[in-house]
Amino acid sequence: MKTKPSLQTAIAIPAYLWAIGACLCTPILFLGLGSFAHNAAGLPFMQIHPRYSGGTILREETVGGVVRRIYEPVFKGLIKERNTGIQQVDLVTPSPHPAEQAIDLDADGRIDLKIRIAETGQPEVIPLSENITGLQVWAKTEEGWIIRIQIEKTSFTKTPEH
Amino acid sequence: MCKQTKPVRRPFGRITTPLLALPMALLLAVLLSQGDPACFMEPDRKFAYAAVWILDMWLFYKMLRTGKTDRYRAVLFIAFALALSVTFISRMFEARGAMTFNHADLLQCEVPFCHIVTTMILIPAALSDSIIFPGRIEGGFADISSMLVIVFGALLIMGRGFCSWGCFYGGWDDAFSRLSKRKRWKNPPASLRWGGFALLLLVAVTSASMLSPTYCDWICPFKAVTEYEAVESVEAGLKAIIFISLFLVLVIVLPIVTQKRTQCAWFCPMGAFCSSTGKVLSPYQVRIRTDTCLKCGKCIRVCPMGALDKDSLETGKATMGCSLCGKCVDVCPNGSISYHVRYSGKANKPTLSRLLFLYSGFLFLAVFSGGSLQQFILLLLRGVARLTIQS
Repeated sequence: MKTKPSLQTAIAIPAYLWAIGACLCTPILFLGLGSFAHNAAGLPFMQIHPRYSGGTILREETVGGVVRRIYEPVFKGLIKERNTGIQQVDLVTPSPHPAEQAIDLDADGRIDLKIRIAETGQPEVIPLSENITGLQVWAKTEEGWIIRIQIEKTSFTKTPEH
Repeated sequence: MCKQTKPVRRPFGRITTPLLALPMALLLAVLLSQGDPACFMEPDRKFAYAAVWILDMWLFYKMLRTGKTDRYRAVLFIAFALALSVTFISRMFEARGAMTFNHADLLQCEVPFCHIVTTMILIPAALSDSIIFPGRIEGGFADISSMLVIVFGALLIMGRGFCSWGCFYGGWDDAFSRLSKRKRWKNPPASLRWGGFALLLLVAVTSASMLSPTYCDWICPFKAVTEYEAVESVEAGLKAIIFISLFLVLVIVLPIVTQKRTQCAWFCPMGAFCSSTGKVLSPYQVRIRTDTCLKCGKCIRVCPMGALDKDSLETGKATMGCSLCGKCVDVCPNGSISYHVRYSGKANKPTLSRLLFLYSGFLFLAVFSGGSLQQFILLLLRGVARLTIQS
């Protein structure tokens, strides 16, 4: 079926307005990039998954000149929590060979693990509690060490409620 | 019977062309400086800024004056890919002393975000309200929020046109697909064009289930020209071998033997994502006038994305893989292929549609590539200055 020329033009007007809109979008996009990006950063999903960021800091304590940042255990999965997770511990110290650290991860009064820094700078994790399975990954940074410990979800370890 | 029409070679005259290019000149003058006054103060930065502005304007003027699109687009697109890799690697060397990243960068979330990762973070972002990538949300180089704004802005503006007018990797296989004069693999299976879609599905599902950007972790060929994990373990070594091998095969060898952008057309999940979303979001497409088409098949042969087939000549539409590069428009012997504003139907004005598209696409490419090209010129200038002082 053929469309009348006037109708064709009428249909084409919104189509061209759309194209002009897209055309104007380019300079607006780049001129307002900083502000758009800032607003986008505030969206609810714009946070790094705790498996990458380490999650939220649970507490910070200083023992023997070493500042220990202990993070919340992370079990977060795609939809529900997983049985295995990580818990991050940051050791902030200028010393290249800090003394052995005995750490109580869940603040229940019992030592859960010991961290020993070898001569090479590599940390060694000695688990003292059944839910700690070992060292997952570590890195030496300017301020000290970032250590991620592999943990299993037991009744012993629960994600604190907020 | 096919009508033989005279091709439109010079759509705009000597006076109209500069007038039409003037808004672009002004927009580029503002946008290329990126709001940084240092562009106009330091002599070397002033030179880099002016050089990029002149190059962009020369290419845009030629596009308008000659009516050819792809020839001039490709110059900027390929220069962008090369400049980005060189400046990216040099930036990584400055920041880390190597082009590789290590565990400290991963654990401190300092890995630059690239647009391809978008395809892997969407499902986890929807279901777990978080981004499964060790990058920065805001602030710093290639942060996640800026890149996402650019990606979704580009999808709104030009859909899959992003693959030929915005992607900072695409220039690599575009360049290699132009190197050989003879097509050695003449008829690659048409089904390969669905490869990107299959890969998109695969990486979206695996990334969501493993909470890890699997394409970046294992199979992105462009890691070979940007950054990859420091080879400190067998796994990292294996990954490095995969990245380099895939780059050699998909980005160098296959484009040379097929004269097609094989990585972009067949193996890029981002391309498939742009196709799927751009079909709805973007107003531009390429259309073939079936009443004047000579059915010579020249467009099918030159299409670098394999987006045209015999059916396209009958239906007048390119397939979803079309990245609006304009190569088919340039080679059509009687001007039957043109840029088209979606839903404008028979009232479509090819010259106006092309002009509107160029203002969207070229401006995007020129501004997005502007920073890398200026940095590249600065690197060259500083390199030359260092050599002169040494000698």
